[in-house]
Amino acid sequence: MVTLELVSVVKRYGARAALDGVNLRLEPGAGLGLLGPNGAGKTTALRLLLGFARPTSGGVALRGRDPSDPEARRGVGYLPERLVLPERASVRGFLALQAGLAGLDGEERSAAVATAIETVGLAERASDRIGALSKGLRQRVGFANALLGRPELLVLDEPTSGLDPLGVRDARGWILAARERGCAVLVSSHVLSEVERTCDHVAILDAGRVAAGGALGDLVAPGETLEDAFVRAVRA
Amino acid sequence: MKGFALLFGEALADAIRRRIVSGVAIAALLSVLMLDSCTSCSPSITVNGQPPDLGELMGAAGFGAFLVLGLWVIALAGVLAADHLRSALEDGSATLALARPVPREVFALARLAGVLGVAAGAGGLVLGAAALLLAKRSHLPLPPALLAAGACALGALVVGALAMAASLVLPRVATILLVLGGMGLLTLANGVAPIGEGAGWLGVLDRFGPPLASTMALALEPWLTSVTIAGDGIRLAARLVAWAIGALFALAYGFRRVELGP
Repeated sequence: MVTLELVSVVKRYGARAALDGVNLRLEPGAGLGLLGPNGAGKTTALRLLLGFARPTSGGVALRGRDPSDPEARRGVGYLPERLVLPERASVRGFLALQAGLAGLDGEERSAAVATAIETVGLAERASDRIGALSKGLRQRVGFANALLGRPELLVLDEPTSGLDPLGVRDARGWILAARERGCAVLVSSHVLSEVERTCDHVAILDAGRVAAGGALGDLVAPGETLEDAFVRAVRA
Repeated sequence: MKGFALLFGEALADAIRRRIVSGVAIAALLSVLMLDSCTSCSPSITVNGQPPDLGELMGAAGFGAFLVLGLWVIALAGVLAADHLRSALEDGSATLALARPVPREVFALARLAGVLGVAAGAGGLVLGAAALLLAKRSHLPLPPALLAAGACALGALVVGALAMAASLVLPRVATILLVLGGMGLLTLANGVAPIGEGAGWLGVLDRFGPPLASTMALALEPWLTSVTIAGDGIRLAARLVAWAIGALFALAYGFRRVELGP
């Protein structure tokens, strides 16, 4: 089963087309980087994939189901670009709530929370209120939330936002570790170097269309960087 | 069900933390103190040189006070609901929960339940104190108060759910004005219908609108000794239940249609 798929998707807001005939496909275990300038339609694509919005036309499938079906989102870890966390909750309390919503119960739930906290290096801050954490640590909480319960698919929107260089390196490690155990990853980012290191496929969106896409090796010509390929695609 | 319970706990905590709730708590305490003061007084009133029937006076005063407090609780539910769901959408906090396998309607109903939890706390305090004080000091029977409190709870559900559904398409201030204006009109319609025999648009509102005041008034009627309130209690209660079901469906349907931010 394909992990996620957009087929000829059009999404209009009034007369403006945020997405115009977009096709995307992510196989299990693969890593797809979604690139594009601001306003290219990356976030809109993620909203459609998670069932937050409906396409004007075309088909969207998440784990073989309509994304508006809650079961389609089982096993999906999501890190939004605008991460809003409950200020008064403790790190552990917030993650326990999210693990419960993810369908985890009892010891499985406690173990998932403990593992996620350990993974992102927040064991010593697990009882702290989220409101007392720095931006970088909050981003780690967001990552821990996305990684809860070993998801089959990670959807990450600007995942390294707010992280210091060490945090960026850690985040790369978490993404690669998830991929190694077979988790599919969709990363929307402006940081091309991070996409290059964590994904094997790339789709470059521009003005609501896929300007270029495919395996990294096919997209980036010999002697070129991903940045060169990106500029070539959006200026074509 | 587990998802609902988790989200309800979160929604209730959010509702309790809202600034308006401290004002509500103060208003509720003042109401209780006022009731305590009013029910402990011994009025010396004469009408045409004769003392009136104190039981009748206490019954009428208790009826009015309980009705006003009940309407206050319903309005409180509506005002709190006017942005309890909307704020979670606007600040983006809803998206983390809705990225999980949580049905949209479960999220919306949990937010509503959070609001109703606060309204139930305030209502339980104010109406409970009123019922006990009126029973102990004015010797008014308790069962009418219990029935009226039940009608109040159902009314709060109707107004809260409709306010929450309206908040998905209206700004907060407009939703609050709609709640307060709508409740004022409905109460007026319920009040004047027996006098005007239900004519005009107020009559239509009284016959088909959610019977917020009339169900409570009918429940409290045994407290009135010289006034009879006409109405079929079963039919009124059935209409209120129908409105409650309709309001919940409107909220669930409306929230399913809403597009969420990232």
